[in-house]
Amino acid sequence: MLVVHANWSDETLHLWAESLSCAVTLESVTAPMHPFVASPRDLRGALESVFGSLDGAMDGHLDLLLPHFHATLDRLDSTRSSTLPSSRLAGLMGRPTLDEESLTLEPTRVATLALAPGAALQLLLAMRACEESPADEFVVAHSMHWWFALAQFALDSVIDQRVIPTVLQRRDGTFAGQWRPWLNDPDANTQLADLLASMPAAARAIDGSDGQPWPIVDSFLGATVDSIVRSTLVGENFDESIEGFDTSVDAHAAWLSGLLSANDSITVARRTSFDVLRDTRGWLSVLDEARVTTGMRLRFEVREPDLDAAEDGIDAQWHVGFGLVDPDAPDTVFDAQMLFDRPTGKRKGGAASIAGGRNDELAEMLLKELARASRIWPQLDEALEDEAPSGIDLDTRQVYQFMRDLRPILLEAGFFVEVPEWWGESASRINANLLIDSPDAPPTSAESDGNRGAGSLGLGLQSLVGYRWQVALGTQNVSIEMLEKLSQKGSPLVRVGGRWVDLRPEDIESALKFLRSHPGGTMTLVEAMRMAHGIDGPPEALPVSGVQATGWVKQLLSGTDSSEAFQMAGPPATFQGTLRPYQLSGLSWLAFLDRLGLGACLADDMGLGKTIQLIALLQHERTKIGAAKIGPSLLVTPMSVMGNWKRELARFAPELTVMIHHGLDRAAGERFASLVSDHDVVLTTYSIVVRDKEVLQSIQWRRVVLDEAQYIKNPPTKQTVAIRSLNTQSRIALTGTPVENRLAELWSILEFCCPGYLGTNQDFRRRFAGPIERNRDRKTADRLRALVRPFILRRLKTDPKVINDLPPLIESRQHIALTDEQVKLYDEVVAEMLNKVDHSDGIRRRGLVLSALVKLKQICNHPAHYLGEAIGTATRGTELVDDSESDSAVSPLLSIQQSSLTPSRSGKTQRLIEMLGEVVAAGDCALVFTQYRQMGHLLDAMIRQSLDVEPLFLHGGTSQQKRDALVERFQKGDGTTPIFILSLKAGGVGLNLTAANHVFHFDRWWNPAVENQATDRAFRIGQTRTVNVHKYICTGSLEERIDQMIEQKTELATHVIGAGDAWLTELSTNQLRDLITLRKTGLEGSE
Amino acid sequence: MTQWQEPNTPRPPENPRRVIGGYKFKRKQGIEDLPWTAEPLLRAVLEAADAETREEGYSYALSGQTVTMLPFDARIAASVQGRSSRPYQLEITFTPWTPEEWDKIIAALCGEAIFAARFLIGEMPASTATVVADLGIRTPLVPIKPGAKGNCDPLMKCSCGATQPCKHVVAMMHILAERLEEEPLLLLQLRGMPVARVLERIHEKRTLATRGANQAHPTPQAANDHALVTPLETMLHDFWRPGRRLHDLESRPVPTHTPHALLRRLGASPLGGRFPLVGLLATIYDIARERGTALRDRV
Repeated sequence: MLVVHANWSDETLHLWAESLSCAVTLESVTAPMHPFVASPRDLRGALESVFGSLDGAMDGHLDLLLPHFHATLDRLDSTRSSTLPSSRLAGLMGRPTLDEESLTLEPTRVATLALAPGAALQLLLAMRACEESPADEFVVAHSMHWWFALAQFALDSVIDQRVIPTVLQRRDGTFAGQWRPWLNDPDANTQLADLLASMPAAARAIDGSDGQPWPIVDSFLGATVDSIVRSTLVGENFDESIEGFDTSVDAHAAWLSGLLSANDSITVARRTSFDVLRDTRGWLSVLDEARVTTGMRLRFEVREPDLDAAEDGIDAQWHVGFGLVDPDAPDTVFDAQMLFDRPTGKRKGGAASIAGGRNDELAEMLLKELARASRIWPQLDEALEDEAPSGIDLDTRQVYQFMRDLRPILLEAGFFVEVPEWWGESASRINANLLIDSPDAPPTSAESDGNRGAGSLGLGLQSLVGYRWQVALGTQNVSIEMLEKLSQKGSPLVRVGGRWVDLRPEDIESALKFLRSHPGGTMTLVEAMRMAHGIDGPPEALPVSGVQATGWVKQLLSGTDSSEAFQMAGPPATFQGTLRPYQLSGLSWLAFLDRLGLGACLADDMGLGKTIQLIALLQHERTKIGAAKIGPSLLVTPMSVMGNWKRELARFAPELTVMIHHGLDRAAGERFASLVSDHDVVLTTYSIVVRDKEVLQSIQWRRVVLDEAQYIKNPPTKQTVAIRSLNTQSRIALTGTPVENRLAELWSILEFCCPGYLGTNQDFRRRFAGPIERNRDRKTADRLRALVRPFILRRLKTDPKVINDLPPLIESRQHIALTDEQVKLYDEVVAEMLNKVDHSDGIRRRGLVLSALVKLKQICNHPAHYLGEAIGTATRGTELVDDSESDSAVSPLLSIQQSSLTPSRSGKTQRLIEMLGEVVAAGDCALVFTQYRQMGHLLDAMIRQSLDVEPLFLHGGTSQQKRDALVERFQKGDGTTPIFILSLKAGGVGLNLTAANHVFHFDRWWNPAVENQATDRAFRIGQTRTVNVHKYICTGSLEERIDQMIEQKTELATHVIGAGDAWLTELSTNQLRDLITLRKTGLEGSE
Repeated sequence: MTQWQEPNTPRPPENPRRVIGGYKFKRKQGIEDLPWTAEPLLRAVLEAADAETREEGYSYALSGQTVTMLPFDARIAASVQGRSSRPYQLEITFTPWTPEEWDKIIAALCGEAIFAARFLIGEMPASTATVVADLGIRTPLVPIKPGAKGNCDPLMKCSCGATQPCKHVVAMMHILAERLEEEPLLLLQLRGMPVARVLERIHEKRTLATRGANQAHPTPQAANDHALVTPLETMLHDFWRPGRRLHDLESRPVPTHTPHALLRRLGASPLGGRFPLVGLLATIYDIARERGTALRDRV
């Protein structure tokens, strides 16, 4: 596996790579050569396997300044130093964050693959595009995302025609033509500032340079843009346009030759070249005028003619008034009329009281600005013939052209242009509305195919609905006759019903054509929905403004937004608890879609109770009077949350019969089928669905529910295929990630819930994902959002409808099953301890119990924690980072063994990674408390590896200064460090960490007061959001037992609280056995 | 002899014809106190002339007989009014530095900011002559070998036909001396390059040396905003990841495309209408956009 990096130097992109295999095995090297850089051959091989042949790439090398770390190796005070692995590599290899390390910048040579600008740009774009389906051969370094953005910026400037031809004089004095982006306009300048400010240190650490971003960005943008434009021009033989001119004497021909041909040189005499440079500079400076010149700006104001409501306004006379504004205070307008009027003293107060001298000065400015504007709008010259130009009269057609074509350019050139407020609004354009007629209740399968009485459901996406099209001008519906009348007028701006509408003749044509060819009729719901959002819709260029519906389709479209749209469900009588109002509306929504036979994705924020909304749905459908027996629902979950589901079902819906399909002795074949028919709910895991595909397919499920639905991946895996192949009447997906913004995930999940709704994956990528991700196309993003909205319900904790329902603090317990490995270790420790305590007493017995207790807690955390597999060979058996640094032996490439970083070896770590993944995806922040520093290091490395984020870690050895820095960094809340790991003792008191809205107690302290104190780091004054507290408990283990005792306030519990672990040692062997022996629940085991 | 004097008979007057508004030598007490830029040439001219010519020339200079004196590149054209009805035409030709010599000199002058700085306010640092001499250039900054023969510097000619230097040349040389006192940079033009051009060359050279390139387009504002940049040394613990503002960039809306917006703001070409540049650029922008879009959508 390679980690690919890029640097730019001398108009060349240097790609280089760190090699994971080298990095792990190589010992420290003190030579200036990077110790674990991959050979250009390997890099080429990896890249070519994905992107095809890289013909133009050459082997090269580059001298960089990279961070090196220094560690004292032994008591002889000899120190070793080595190149620090990049953040991406460190994460992959599980190197923990060592903030205390002393780092220096050292010259380091890397072997590179060197690419010319054109090839470089194309490769960067291709690498960016394939990011979603990562290759096996390589991953990209974090800095590459910046290079991708820079490449995109260069390309966008060409696409948006924001490039200029310019002249450069190189260091050797020669002149050359160059195409490059124009960066001085506000938008481009802001984006450039973003790029300069975010440029990673690694991208600018060229040895021998001053580390400034601009020279690199400047050179990259110039070279790549020039390469695209020039290669295009050369391909089209543009240099023919200067044929017949002698480019060795004719400066201008030489300039063009330097821009149009493969050779960029300007080859006339130096002196003449200098004239070209100067002329070009003068020419380009026009673009920069608005910024460079200070003072007032010309302001155009389009004034509508006064007309009666009935007039169509085609022959109306418009007026564009001139004025001056101060760009810093654009609300104060100095009207030209007033400026040219000599103050006579008759006028009273106000603007007219500007002194005469000032007026003259302003009038002169106005004239200058008019002259500047007339270069863009030559018609202004007419106005300038007037002695006191105050405005210009235009007819309707001219004003239309002014607003449509000239306004954007005048705005760019720094002028102000005021237009009527209706201009540019989609409501002023001609558009089509889809009207859908549907009855109040949908047709059901029972009605259509007769006799499947049990649980009759809607036909879902295949339901037929009636439809017709309605064309509207603005908000007013218009008939075909009306359109025909308007088309005869031939004016682009027309008044209809007293309102101006932007009516391009071509729009009317297409509207007429469209209406005639789409008289209406019936179609399926899926067709209607796609058409309503302009997807499969009218091929003609007629904007579809929306959809109006009656009956059940109206309810579907309005979703939970309007309460009257569908019937709110009451809480099921059997539900053992209280549903908050937003949970009731979630339940109603699920029930409504379910009745229609439509799939749903419930994507509420973590902590809002997706589980109980689903449980309530299972009860809701069973409370209907006279309903036939409801078939079983299949719940597919990750292993780590199965225990939680079981507990929540038992707690809130004890009447439901739950079957767990898991473990080696799970039922198969006939027995499975008969067991299933006796249960309401079958719980299983994603991996079992693949293994038991046949037997699961043989059942006709009432419903298939996916928890943590982001598990189904795109492109489809065996798992995804198996899940989609299940026979079910309805499908529900639960996920806590912002699914609407993760397009690959969105498609996979909707393909499960509403098969076919978003089209094939390929079609979806072309139509939506491409434009939205690559071009940041907002319209397409809006369309997609509207399209999926009926099927996705995502509420955030901050939503006004939710926030009032939420208490400031929500505590929940995560009951997590042990893995097979954990069970085995746990049983061994228990057996050994019980065996020994029987034969010992006094201090010895106490010691035995305490040490066993620690071991059990470690096993519950992660097998690697118990086994002491923590750190690489050099530090085995010692603390990872000893704060008295001279004593610690740190391997140069210190890392934790890969197997220790496998979250799936422990139920808790697996669940933690899943939940933190949602936290990060939602842009939230979390605290993770553990009692053990060792575990903290494991979590740190694990989080970096699995989630690719940089956690902060505070423990007993952290210096005060460092603590302050960590807290400040976390509290900044800028999203770069969303996760903070703290050791309970060091971080449990005194800190203010209100940036966090999730608190994880990864292992338990038997004293609730201590835990609450830790929780209060986030839940305190200054906290504005609901805080979710997640307490992790291993099912069946002593953690669960003690937790129950505290919960039930048993007598024993009074001993527990406040006594640390000492009370345990006083228990009799029988009590002890009862407390610590693992109670199997059938959920244990790995996926 | 008859008392009549034929009024039309031309006869050289005792004194030269008076000139109104001619250049006058301002010093009344000889040529003392002339600076190093002016003194050596005048002294060399005077040494080459005989006593009478010196006298007459000096008095011509005082009375303002020099009608015109126009410096060109490496040459001065002047006219001096003598006793004859029309002014004599003078041509003083200096030895120009070759382009190679100029390249060397400009490179040397760029080495120290003092030259560009003083040149800009019209002054010539005294070390300039040394810089030129140290480069091994045979023609000195200040000319000192006036004469009438081919390799003299300057080569002096006057339409009076007398031996050089004649009194007209001597007079004009006085005027030139005081001109050089006021405007020492004129020496550079007399070596073949106008001052403005020398400054331009120095500026160009310095820009190339400090910025690596000279360019026709302005540098964008953001490039000069140093607050945006964190020094590498302080980023050792956060060396590899892009900064937060990359996220800002990616969430900024894409502005709507206005076809040819830049081109329409630019207006007519710098080429002065010889090529239909605007039309050519419009075509170029369109096909470049097409190609860019193809690149974007190829993936």
